[in-house]
Amino acid sequence: MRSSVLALGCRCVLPLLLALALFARPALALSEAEARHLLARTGFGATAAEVDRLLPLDRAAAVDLLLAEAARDEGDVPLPAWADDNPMTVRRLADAAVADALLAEQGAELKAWWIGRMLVSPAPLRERMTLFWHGHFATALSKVRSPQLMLRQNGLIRRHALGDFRALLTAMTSDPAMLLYLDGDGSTAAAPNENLAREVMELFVLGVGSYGEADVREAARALTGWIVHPATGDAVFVPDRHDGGDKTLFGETGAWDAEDLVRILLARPEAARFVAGRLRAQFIAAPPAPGELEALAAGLRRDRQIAPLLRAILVSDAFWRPAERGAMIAGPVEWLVGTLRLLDARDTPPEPVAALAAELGQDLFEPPNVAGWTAAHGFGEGWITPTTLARRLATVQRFVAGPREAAAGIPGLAARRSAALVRWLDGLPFAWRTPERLQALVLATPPTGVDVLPVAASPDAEVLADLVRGWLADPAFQLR
Amino acid sequence: MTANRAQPVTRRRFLRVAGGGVALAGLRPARAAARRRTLILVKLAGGNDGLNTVVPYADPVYRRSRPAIGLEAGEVLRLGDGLGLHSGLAPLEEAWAAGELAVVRGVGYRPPDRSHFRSMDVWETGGEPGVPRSQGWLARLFEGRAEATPLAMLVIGSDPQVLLAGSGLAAVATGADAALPPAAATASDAPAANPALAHVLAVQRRLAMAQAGLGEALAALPSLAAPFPAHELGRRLEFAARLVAGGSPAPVILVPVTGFDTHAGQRPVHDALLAALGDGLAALRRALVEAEAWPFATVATYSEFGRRLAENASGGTDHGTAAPQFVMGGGIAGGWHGDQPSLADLEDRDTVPTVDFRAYLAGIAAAGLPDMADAAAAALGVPPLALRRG
Repeated sequence: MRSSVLALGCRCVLPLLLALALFARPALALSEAEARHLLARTGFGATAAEVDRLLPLDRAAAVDLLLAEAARDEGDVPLPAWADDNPMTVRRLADAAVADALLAEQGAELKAWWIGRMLVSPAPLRERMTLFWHGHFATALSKVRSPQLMLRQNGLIRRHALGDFRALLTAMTSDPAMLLYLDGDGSTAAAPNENLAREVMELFVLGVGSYGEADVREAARALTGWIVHPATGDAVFVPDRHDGGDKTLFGETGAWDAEDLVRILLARPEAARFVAGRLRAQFIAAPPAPGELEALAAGLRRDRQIAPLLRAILVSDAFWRPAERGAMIAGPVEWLVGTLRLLDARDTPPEPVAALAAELGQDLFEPPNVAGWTAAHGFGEGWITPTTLARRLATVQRFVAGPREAAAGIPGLAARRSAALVRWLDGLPFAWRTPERLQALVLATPPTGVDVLPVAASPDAEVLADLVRGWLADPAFQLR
Repeated sequence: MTANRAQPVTRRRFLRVAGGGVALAGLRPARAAARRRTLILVKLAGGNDGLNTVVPYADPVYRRSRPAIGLEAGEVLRLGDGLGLHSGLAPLEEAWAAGELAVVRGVGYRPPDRSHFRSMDVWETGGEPGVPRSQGWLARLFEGRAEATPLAMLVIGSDPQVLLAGSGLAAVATGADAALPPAAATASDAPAANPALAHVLAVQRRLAMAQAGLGEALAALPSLAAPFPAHELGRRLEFAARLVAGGSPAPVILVPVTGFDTHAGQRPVHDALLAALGDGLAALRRALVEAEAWPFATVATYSEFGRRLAENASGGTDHGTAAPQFVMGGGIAGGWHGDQPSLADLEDRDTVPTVDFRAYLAGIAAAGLPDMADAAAAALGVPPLALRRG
């Protein structure tokens, strides 16, 4: 809509149309709570400006706007300085201590780079989808030992994050970091390694119980022949190492290779349901109603496109039920980045934030195992234990506490803290500076620890800051 | 509640949230100061060089392998068997002579993982090497006793707390100055229509229970007459000793020590680390004996791995495998435990473990918390090493 307005090129029409958009809102325009819900589920929290922007739109238009923005690639955060170094540098260092030190240093920069992207991204849905697939196609730096290959894999995932699932899956079967992580590197006709083949079926496409051990063995043969070139770090297909013989996969026999495997797996009836279910669970807490998953899967089966599947999930009735608001627990990265975005602290140095995320249980590029963060932590409850909750409370304190606490905090954040909250509140549009609106912005559900709001709407930032401080420490602030 | 009164109440509530443990005073009576058996874990993070800690000074292979950083016979406290303690640990001689210091040799696992992160994970989850485990071994030890153990562990320092990962058990981290993190507000018994919120509330209640009265309890700890060394580890161990003397609110106290990853220029660094450990532990023992609380304390070390037999070209050592660990306490069966790994019979240039690390962990739990002996065997899946006297 905005582009058509601009196309008119008339300065007097633009404000008029914008005013119309604001005051003549469509009958189905989002409520503030709905706008916040959509933003918090698909991005990193919700800011007042982001909510304001969605208010004139109805559900479908708001979802389409977020999807359109996520489809655009914006690479505005500079890559780490070592991004183009030889990816095998760390792996080829003879001195283990030197290699470990380099890996630790570049690993910290890698994590900081991604956090930095999330903090400033104008299209947080793309980062969230990248994070989702990072967990789905779990790969850990500590085994890969190449920050460059992890960075490349992250770019690959980001490019395909809302695209063609088949292209994404195919790319992952020959991604150097994945080959190193799941021992696809060096899997040969003579000695096929089943690790990658098994996880492709169990974790990437079909789910446990939808294949047999014979399928794993045959799939492993189909995946042979790939190596990660020890000098360049590129994935190279070496025909001599590939098992060119016939394999029988789910009743189909042929001289299958990796691409055939992907095609055959995606043709299985379980595939689309499995992938749609994983994606749905990322955005909707309530279990699917009978037939709901099948309807989502049908679309994916038809065109294999992720964006339409995501759209179907986000416009579904299940997503918009009021009971969905705040029915999930925000993961550590979401929660940290969301808090900083909410408080307009996007210029926070990302490296300590990445370290905090690790302390809270989500070390980027270092998922706990092949199943990513999902198996160990579920889609929520496992994130909150007495230890991690205590850390979240301490973290909030560090972000917003007074000058006394500032002295003991993490470096780089000190300047922001004491006055940060007041400064943020002072910068908010006046209309937002009421306790009711602020509470509904900060929290997905009413606070549990405070029963009554102050009587009068108060523009006094100090008073509001006190309230916000309480909300940030409320159990409801852990929800999305 | 009237609207007029709402704001002050609200503000007070927030102050409580922001104000830390002190503000919780008065919610609960102070904890009874009855002394309880307490297990103090001293975590030597980075991989302590076992071969320069319990030194096979007479072994020609040791001398040959460590021409630059090996300890001479004159630099060790000889304990027999051709082994001697690094001179930094000489203050432990009294505990050794009293039969209260156990030296468990060759503790480790196979096949070794030489990554700090993963190997520490193996140690702290008590898992099968190579098989990721998401639950800490202390989490399994106290499983089902969460109600009786509102606070399972006090950390004096900073630690990822993998020991309790994957459980609803609570730990609280504090500095040697007893500074506490912000306390969780006591969660209301709000309606649990939203399961996610119900979960957070339940955890928050547990956390608040763990923290309740803690500030008061820590403030009420007795001072000890015996002096402690003035370094950070000394201060932390002094705090641990005061906790034991005053009745520790947690059955386990974790004291992390870092700096053991000595790849280069090892001697001065490692010498200083062990000297701090030696005089710190000796002071802890003296202080608790004086306070008549020594029978309640068990101190045990652990580290993610030992270090390679052969020194490297930088005057340091690289990641290895088996290493000795120390257990000290009033009820401990002192002396040697486990066999000294052979320096002639190496596997991939490293010594081969002689004691299963899980038996060691079960052993220190059973020795330190005797009524948990069965739970320790179950949590680690192996019979505990017998470390308790009598």
